[in-house]
Amino acid sequence: MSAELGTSHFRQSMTWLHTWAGLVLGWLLYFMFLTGTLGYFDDEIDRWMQPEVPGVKASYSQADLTKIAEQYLQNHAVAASFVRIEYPDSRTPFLVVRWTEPAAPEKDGRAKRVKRYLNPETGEAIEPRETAGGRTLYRLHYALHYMPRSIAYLITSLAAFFMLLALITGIVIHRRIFADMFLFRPGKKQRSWLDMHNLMSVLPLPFHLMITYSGLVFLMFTSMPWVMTASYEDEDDFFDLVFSQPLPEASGVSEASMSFSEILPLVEAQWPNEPLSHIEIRHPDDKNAFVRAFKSDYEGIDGREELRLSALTGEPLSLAVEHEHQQEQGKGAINLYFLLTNLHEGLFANTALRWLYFISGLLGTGMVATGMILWAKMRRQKVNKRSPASKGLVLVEKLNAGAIAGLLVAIAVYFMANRLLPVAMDNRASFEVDALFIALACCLVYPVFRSATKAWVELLILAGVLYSVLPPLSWVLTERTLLDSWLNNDWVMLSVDLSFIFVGLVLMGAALKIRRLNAPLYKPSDKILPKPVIANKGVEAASSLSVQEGAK
Amino acid sequence: MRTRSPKENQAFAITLRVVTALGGGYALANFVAVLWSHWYPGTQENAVMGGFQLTFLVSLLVAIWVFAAAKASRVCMQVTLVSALLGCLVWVSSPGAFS
Repeated sequence: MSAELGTSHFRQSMTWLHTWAGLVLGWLLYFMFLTGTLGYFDDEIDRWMQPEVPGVKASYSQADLTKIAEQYLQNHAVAASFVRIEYPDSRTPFLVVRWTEPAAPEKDGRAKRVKRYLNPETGEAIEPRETAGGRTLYRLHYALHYMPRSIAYLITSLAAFFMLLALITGIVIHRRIFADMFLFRPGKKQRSWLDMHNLMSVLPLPFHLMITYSGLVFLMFTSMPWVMTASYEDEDDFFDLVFSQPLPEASGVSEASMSFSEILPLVEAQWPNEPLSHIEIRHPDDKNAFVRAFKSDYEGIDGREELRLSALTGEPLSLAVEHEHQQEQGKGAINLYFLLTNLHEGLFANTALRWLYFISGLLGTGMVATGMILWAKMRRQKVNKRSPASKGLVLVEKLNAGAIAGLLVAIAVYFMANRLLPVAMDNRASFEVDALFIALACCLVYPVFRSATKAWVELLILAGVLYSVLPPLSWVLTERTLLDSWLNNDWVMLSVDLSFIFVGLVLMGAALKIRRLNAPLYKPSDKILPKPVIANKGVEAASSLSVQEGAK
Repeated sequence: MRTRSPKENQAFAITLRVVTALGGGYALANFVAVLWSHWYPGTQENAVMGGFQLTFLVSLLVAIWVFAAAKASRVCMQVTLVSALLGCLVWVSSPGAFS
């Protein structure tokens, strides 16, 4: 066998692997990419889904807020083993208090953790609507839903591995990786889909590789448990060594500790002009009581800088970082783990970088979607009278419409449910998620009754209308207008609302574009033609889609 | 024994490759990781963490190997052989691993 033949065989087999590794779990990967990408704005989505919570005006100083929160905690967090005040920041412009109530036998003996949003004007707690929020939406991308976590982790790990395989084989089969980065040939049948697929894959390739590999690393304790159990009899021994952050325990000896208001000046003296993210006291009124304060701004990707003080004397105890993986000799693999997982989560990202994460994620979503569309387009092109479309091709075409456009509808329905379900409803949060999956199921079934192309157009229009309607619907149901958000400096709320309108318009535009490209399907004369002709015409029109595009 | 048609043969070969790539990839990845975690110098937890992160590279390479090979049956044999070899190595070097 000549060397040339060898490489062409290699390229061919890698093309096969790329095609099928990408397709088999492609719809799940699309789901994971899109919900995960939305996760970069989970706090912002949370904010939109609980419009009752008022943003904190900038006129309140850190000391004012501390007083207000402390007042509330004194009245409500009795005998708590942990109390915390969270200050407003640009992503979560709220005053939040948290505490842990001691374990009580009548509550399964478990310590109860409480979270309250405070209204600084009244000093009272606000009861926002129950919602699954942006958090649940983002959890879907690795924990899925309606199944135990461990099973979901195995499924998403397998999908991520297929993604990694598709990425690497994609690089192998791609001849001119840099030249094609700037190549787009619109209006050239499936060649345009290929160019689009390449653009979305190659430009953010480092992101795709990072996010896929680190995603696998995140779940490796579940997907590859033997690596750890081969060396450790008890998994927890291993986790303790890698993750544990031993915080001092309570001594049981009571001793009066300082209040937040007394401690805050000490923290501010250590960190002048540094806004805080949150401040907490562990074991208040115990001999071992201590304070942890965290800076609002991240430095690097490691987490927030922490200041630890004695809550009795106010003296600094030790300066530790939130993750205890200091740069030490011989911890390379552990450091790499934290580097990868921090990069994946992107919690450290400021607004600009967060948008870059978001856009890269959207490009990844588009990469998966165009890949599957391309699979169908390439096979559809070879369909003619002698070799009709296979059942597999029709299935993929219909699944593409139902899943790709359908998930966009389903997520819009999720937001819709947040506004439409009665505010006082029991289990409201889980109904929101149910609404998402019911909508997704309906969208998956819908193309059974329509041609794939018509399903694409109709589902995209539906999604577009739903997103565009969300802001006006909020206006009616929550009495919050875009103008209110503008006047109250509620930029997070305003940005989410404006993004909905933008997404809605883009989706409707996409639908109209597909409709125009497939104009023959929509000739009004179709309706009055006798039945057999309709059937023929439908099939032919579908099969000659690309011809129509080319002739234009 | 009935002889298979070319189409059946192809389907069988593809199934064999998929099973070899997934099963063999998973086994080899675990064996390499365990060997790494026992032989890599330094602390045990760091070595295990390194082994963990190697698993995906190993399974990736195995998958590419299996699908690039000319004959499905031969590569299946090869992967099985290497897995058995590494499995024995794990068994000899760290008897506790299989318990």
